[in-house]
Amino acid sequence: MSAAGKHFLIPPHLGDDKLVAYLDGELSRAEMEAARAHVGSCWSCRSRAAEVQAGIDKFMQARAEVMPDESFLADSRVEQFRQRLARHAIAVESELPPLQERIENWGSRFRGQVTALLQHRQVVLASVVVVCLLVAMFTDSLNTRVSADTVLLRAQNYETIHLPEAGTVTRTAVRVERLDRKNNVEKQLGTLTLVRDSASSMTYVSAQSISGEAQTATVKDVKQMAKPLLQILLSDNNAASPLGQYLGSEQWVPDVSVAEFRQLAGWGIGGEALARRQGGTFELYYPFAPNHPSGIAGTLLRVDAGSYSLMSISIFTRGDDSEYRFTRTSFSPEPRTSEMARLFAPGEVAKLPPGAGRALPEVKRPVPLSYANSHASEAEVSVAEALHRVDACLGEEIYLFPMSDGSLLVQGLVDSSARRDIIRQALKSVPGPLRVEVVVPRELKSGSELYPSPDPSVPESAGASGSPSATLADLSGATMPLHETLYAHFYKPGSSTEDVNKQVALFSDEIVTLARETFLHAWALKRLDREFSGSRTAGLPAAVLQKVEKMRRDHDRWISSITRRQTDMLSPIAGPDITSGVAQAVAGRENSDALLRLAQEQNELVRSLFTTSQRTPETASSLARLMVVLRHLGS
Amino acid sequence: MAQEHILNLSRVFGAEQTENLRRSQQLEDRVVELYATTRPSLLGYAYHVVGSTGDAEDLVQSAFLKLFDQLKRNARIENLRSWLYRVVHNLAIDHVRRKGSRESTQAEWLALRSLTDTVHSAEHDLIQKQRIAGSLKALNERERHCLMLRAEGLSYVEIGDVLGLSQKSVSVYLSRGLKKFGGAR
Repeated sequence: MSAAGKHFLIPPHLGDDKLVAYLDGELSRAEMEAARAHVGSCWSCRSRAAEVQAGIDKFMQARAEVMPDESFLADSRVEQFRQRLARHAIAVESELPPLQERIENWGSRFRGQVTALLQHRQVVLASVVVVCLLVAMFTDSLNTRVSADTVLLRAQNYETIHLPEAGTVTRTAVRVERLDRKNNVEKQLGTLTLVRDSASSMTYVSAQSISGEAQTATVKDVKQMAKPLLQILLSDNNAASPLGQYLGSEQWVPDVSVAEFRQLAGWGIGGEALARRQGGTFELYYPFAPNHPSGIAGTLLRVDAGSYSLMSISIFTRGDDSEYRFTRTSFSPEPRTSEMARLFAPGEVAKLPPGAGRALPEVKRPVPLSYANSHASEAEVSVAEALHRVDACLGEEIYLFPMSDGSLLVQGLVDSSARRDIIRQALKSVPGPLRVEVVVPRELKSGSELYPSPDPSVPESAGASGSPSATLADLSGATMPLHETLYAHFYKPGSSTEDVNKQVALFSDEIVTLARETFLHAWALKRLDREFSGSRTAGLPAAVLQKVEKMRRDHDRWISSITRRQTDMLSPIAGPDITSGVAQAVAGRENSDALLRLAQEQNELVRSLFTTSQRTPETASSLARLMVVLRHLGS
Repeated sequence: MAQEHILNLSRVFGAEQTENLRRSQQLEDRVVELYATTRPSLLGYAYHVVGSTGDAEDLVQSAFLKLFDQLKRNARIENLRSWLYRVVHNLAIDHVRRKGSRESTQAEWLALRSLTDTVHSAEHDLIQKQRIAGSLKALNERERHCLMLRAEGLSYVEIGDVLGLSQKSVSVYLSRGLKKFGGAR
């Protein structure tokens, strides 16, 4: 039979790529038809199709396995991206316009100036002025251009993002002062404090004049307090100021916020808003119409150019040629302590006579207590458990501090903001007063400090111990002590040097990683022992103690399971002599100290055997010792 | 809130300025919305290339900043999905090259380490999982990229667009990858 005839009777099998494309529906219609007809009648191709499908299943399974856990996808990053995009948009807007546009601008401005100067026939002076103007224009074009509206919008975003979170209050403090521009005299008028509550949406306001007058209240709507507040803050020597009266009648509240500034700027449209950047500050000036009944000439907002937080609002008046400046001295979230909450309790507020208020509880900065001076609470165990669940106990510099006011503080340093998100997410479900201060290295300024570990006897960080972790570059095999042994172990007739070396590298990489994990788990166990020692946990309910026990068991199980895996991996390398010797060794890991020592030893042994190092260890005896240590650990 | 805000602004500024601002803000909102919806799959892909959740997030965000710039310039984007994956892919590859093989090896291990983080899985499961994940390493870079993109639901044309390959080459890489993978026990 001719080749053509054979072809006709048995259509050609699908190639591997065709078969995959067929299963994916990625062939052209004609090819699809032909493939369907063929696979329908060909057992061989159908069986290969099933193999491809199995490959897809296995791949999808593996893909899911190496995917980090769900917290990686937490929505919290969306808000962070919104801010990043806002900053990016500003940066893009303030970029210089194209060169051609700039040249045209200069040209038109230059022509305008020349005409004006010629009209005045001051030609000699004109040439000097033109040169000066050119210099001025050039420097002007280098200025970062920002529009007032954009800055205002960013500032608004900043405020929206910093609304008080559940369980906190936001305290705003404003200093009020008057700058007499005629006599160049500066005088402080008073201070204003506002505390906004997340739970009751009530606001505590307190105004105090420099002459000692005060007004305090807790109200739903701050606007209703505008008049009395301004009376206290803006009256000079007890004389009511016209400005204070005008602002009061418009219910303008001098808390430095975008909403209040917008209200102010909206009253008197006296021309285009001006915006400029002065060092680290944006200044937005909104002029008022010359005959505005308020007597205000204009208003100025200062915004921090880095964060877009508001710094101050100034009101310039015509009559007394003064600047009334409202400066935000603090704007910070604070815990909603029970004392604080009492300020906003409906019953408590009703009891007070109108106009009267209570003193604002001062927030004393709590200090961390050492383990020796504090007892473990149920909440502390819950926090430790939450940290345990996300492995923050494994060598990370995250500490849990019992504080002097009974609250808890989780503080520490992590590598990335993604890791911080995971830790924050994990701590969200923990009830009770808890502060979380986790920073990434770039946020550590000279001003911020991290408390030392609550237990000075525990080594600072397990992460810092030993030499830096091994890499494939280190594990190239050239000088790794066990390279030859491993090469011989993985060598099979017909396999290439490259393949064998790759297997050797993978093997040593895995064994080094496992050794480090064992060490980290032992270190975590040791930490648990110190943190929840018998004296600290005395009196805690059994159910809580069980939680601690469970964390211990988790680490224990991991140590056993990892060391067994290490033993399985190493036994064929070590050979029967060493392995059988080890089987008779007496196992023992009495307490966490002994365990930590063993874990440390195995980590160092593994590193000396499976990474390149200056020292060349006695491989056979090191390996034998390693097997013994692993045997102890795995028991 | 945004509506009221724009209204207030038009009192202060002229209508034209306000309109420009509204457009710019709307564009930002649209980009953020798109980011929120497409983030999980792009992150998944970026993570597989760079092996670190923090870096993956950063790369994906950078891709969306680029998207914002493109839209702001009214540049034409034929297929938004493959455009986004292409940008993420290129950024990720650059990132890995910049950091060098040293870091990427650690990255691979971090990816594998995540297996050992599952606290309650039995030892047997753990070993099984490590084997499966280890077989990912048998794939070469091209095969792995093709498979990962296909798993994210991209068509062959889109994958080709992202990686700069013909449709035919995509099917060849996919079949080789699956074969290696199916064969790895």
